[in-house]
Amino acid sequence: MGACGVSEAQQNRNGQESQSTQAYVALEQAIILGELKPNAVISEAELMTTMGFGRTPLREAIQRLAKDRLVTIVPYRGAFVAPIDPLIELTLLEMRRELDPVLVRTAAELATPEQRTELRQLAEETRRLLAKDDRVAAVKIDAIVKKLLLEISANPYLTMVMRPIYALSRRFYFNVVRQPGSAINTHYNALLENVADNHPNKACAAAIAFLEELESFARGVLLGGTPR
Amino acid sequence: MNDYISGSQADGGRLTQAAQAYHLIEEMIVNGQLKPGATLSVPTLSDKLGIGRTPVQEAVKQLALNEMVVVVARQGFKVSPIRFGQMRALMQARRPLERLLARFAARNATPAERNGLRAVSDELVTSAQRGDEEAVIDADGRLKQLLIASARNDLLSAAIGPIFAHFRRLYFLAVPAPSLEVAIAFSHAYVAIAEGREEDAVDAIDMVMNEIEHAMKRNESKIAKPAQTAVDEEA
Repeated sequence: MGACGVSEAQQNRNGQESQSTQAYVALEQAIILGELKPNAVISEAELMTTMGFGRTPLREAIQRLAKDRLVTIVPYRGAFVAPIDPLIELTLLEMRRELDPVLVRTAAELATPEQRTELRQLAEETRRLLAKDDRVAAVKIDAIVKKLLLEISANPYLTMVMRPIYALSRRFYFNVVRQPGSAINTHYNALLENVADNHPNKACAAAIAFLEELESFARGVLLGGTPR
Repeated sequence: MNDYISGSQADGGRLTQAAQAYHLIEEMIVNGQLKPGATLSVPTLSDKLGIGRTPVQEAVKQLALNEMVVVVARQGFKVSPIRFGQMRALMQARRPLERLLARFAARNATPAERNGLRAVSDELVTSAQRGDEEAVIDADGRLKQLLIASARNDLLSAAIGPIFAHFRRLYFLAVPAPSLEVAIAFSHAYVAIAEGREEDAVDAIDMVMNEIEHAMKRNESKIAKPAQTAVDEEA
């Protein structure tokens, strides 16, 4: 089950907690997709009307997003969508260069036949959604892919380390990369297919190629430099 | 100090209190004051620590996310069992983070921090030579704090802090302190970090991790028969 399982089990215990999870998911998606822009004020009153959540669940969701660093809470001033900080984005990518290969290799080695089938279906689905540029669905599929990879790794410590890193990486990918260049997609799909086909080395190489491509893109966008 | 709770921002005083509670409770779990399987009562902890219930509750929830505490249906929070079978899983998460820590520390340490790394690293080796386990564990802990501060990467410190805590807890129970071989291997890494030789530092850290993995294999028989308080979930 890992780190996420614990809090979910706890949240399902009463209705209010699961309301706060719903609010969290909805707000996270709005931030990831850029519907809530960096530095935008997060107004509880407004969200209560537009999203239909109560004050307490919303407040809890905002606290969780602050922990994910997607929201900045300024005492006496309120909550804001965290700005996209180029240094943090590049640091995240550098960290993923070390961590993703470990996860991907383990997943390729340990997946059960059923999980491999699921991964192939997810790769197919990802390809389809990218072709349609359906970002809302792509965000959901991406979360399912990450969760599945972590589940396959059966490593609660790796899960506890990676979950917040992925939570923070998603916004840059879906909000800034937007219509990702084809090389990024190709590597991502190669990664999933190689995990599914039990090719740990190739899956690792695809993960590194994916992150290198993303990093060079990030440098171009964030620092205004020319991509390597 | 790195703050595993609040992330990049503190929310007034309350989250700082939660972070305080987090560190205090984590330490009680690491040093065995709170035993594996013990039930955690938020009101009791709150009284004991003199910190309000809300921040204590928040700290316990964070400890659950970091695998120090488990949530048991209808029983609340319990100190997680020591999972000796999970040593490999811990090492698997630790290696990439240690490599990153070496990299960022080599890049970002101040001159004073670099001197500190050299000095405490010498201390680590001489303590290991004397066979003074307590001094070894102490120097090891200070070096890790120094590295985390030098790295200036709070995403990394939030990730590696709990991993180190899990290892420290194992030290207190059944895993031997770093051996002389491990201490010497570590000192090579620390010198490379102090001198800003990033790639050498990462290579040296890999050697340390290999050395630790070998030591774990050598001690497998001991680790497989842990103290009575320990539970091997994978058995």
